[in-house]
Amino acid sequence: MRKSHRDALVALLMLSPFLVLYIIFVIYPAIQAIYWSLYETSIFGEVFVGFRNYERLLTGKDSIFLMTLRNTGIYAMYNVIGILLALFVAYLINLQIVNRKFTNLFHLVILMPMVVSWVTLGLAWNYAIICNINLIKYLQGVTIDNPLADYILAPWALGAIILWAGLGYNTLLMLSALRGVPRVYIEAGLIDGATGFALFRYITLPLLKPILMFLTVGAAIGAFNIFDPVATVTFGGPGWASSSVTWYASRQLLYALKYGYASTLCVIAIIVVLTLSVVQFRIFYSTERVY
Amino acid sequence: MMSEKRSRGKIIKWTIYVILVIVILIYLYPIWIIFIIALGADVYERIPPELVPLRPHLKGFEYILTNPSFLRWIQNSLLFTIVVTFGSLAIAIPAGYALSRIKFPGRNFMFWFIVMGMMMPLVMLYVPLYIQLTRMKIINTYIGLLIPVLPSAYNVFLIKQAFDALPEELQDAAAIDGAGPFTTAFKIFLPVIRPIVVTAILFNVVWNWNNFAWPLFAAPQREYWTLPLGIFLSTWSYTIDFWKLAAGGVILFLPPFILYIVATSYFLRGIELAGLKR
Repeated sequence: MRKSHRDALVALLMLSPFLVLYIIFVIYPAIQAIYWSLYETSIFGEVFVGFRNYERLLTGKDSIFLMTLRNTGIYAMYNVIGILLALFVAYLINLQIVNRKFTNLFHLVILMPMVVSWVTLGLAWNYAIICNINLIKYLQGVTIDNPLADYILAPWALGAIILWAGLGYNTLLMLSALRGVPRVYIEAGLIDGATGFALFRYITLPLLKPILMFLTVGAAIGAFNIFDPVATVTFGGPGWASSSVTWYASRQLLYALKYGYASTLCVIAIIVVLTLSVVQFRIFYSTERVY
Repeated sequence: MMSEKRSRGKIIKWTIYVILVIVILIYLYPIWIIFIIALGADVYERIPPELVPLRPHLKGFEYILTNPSFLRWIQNSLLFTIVVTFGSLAIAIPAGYALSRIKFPGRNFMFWFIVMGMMMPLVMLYVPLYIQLTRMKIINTYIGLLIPVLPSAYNVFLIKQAFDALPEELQDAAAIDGAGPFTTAFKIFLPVIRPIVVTAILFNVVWNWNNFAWPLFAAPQREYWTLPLGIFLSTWSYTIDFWKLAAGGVILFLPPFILYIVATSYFLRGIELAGLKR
């Protein structure tokens, strides 16, 4: 047997356990979703409706869907703010004024939400906010409403909590990006008389542009993927006020049993996220060539 | 002049410290609150709220650890974590190796085919997967709960990257010594990337232990719930006291937290090198 044939056979053997499960449980369902999205489920069974589900969603007839899109925008914006905040925090740490042990402690603490279940974080934040309200009532004598239970404030409050949870991760990425800025560039800047902010603005920031772009696209993708925080902190509520697209789709599926409609939501989200991901990957590969 | 500059430096230094300490406090605050509630502090009715438990008790923990439903969910969680972590990596390692080190026709296509799975929004895939499992009549079974989440494109990508970093000479040396392809893969290459495999195991354990979205779809019946799902769905029941729920939240929190404290450097490196996310 030729070596190239044998190699192909070995590769196939090694890939097949993964591939078989991958095709059955990832690729096939994704394709099935397209098929289901053309149907409508009712008590009489499934009825073929063509593109009516898409039409309903894409022409803005579903006000809940519009609300989830608005929320996705809010969460994406928070993710971008989170990236900038992370850049700021990483910049402070990278000045190396703070001692090493304190820096390590700081990392340990702000990365913690990454390893904690959202179920715990959701409970903890609900308790903490009620505790804050009671504290303010005691100290100031005023009663404020729970922002998580307020129609207008809920997505904004939830967005802040999502930012809180992701800040550690972003800070660490930013920090390694800052450390990747070659020393010589900084020294060249110093020789030219640049100091402090100018050094950051004209030398560090342009070098960070690729990773900032990468993370910004990631912020949009992340906003589309949000599920756990919505489920655990607000249960999508009050009403649908803080729902994300994924949460809406899961409710349509598991509670309303509208398989077709949920599948349509799913197809639209997959197309959007895949497109954004391709953009992100392009950025990723072009950054590697820069460094 | 000199002293003015030094005092300015001092102000900057202390400002940074104050900012960072405030950030730390914002991170510890909610965790602290859930801990003290689990220990019986009252932040709901009492004004001012108890920020330190005045009469601490362990009744919440006792309840969770003796309640048959919660015990069942803890068992399910352990099963889910172990089976999915090791099963998923067991199929990801050979796949990652083949993609990285073996030249075969269509390798590039195969790589993108798998990367595509990594890019897809996971929870969105659960929607058609749920429909499919219902048709296959394996919803509410351990097979339906455990098997569909095994193929993780993310793990394959991670392992492939690790193998990519190894030098070509290692393969040549193995070939000269007459090692077959499987010996080369598992006896020569795999031990070299052990740190990455350990990192992958740690992250997978944390992800799977915390995963509640998939059980939410795959396990409508309570005997198949996992601990996070059990606590999540108990939140909406009026028969359970909130300090018991808080205790559940703390029990859910502890295993990954301990793992994180013990193996902090692995977690930090996992994020810095591979950008591992939840």
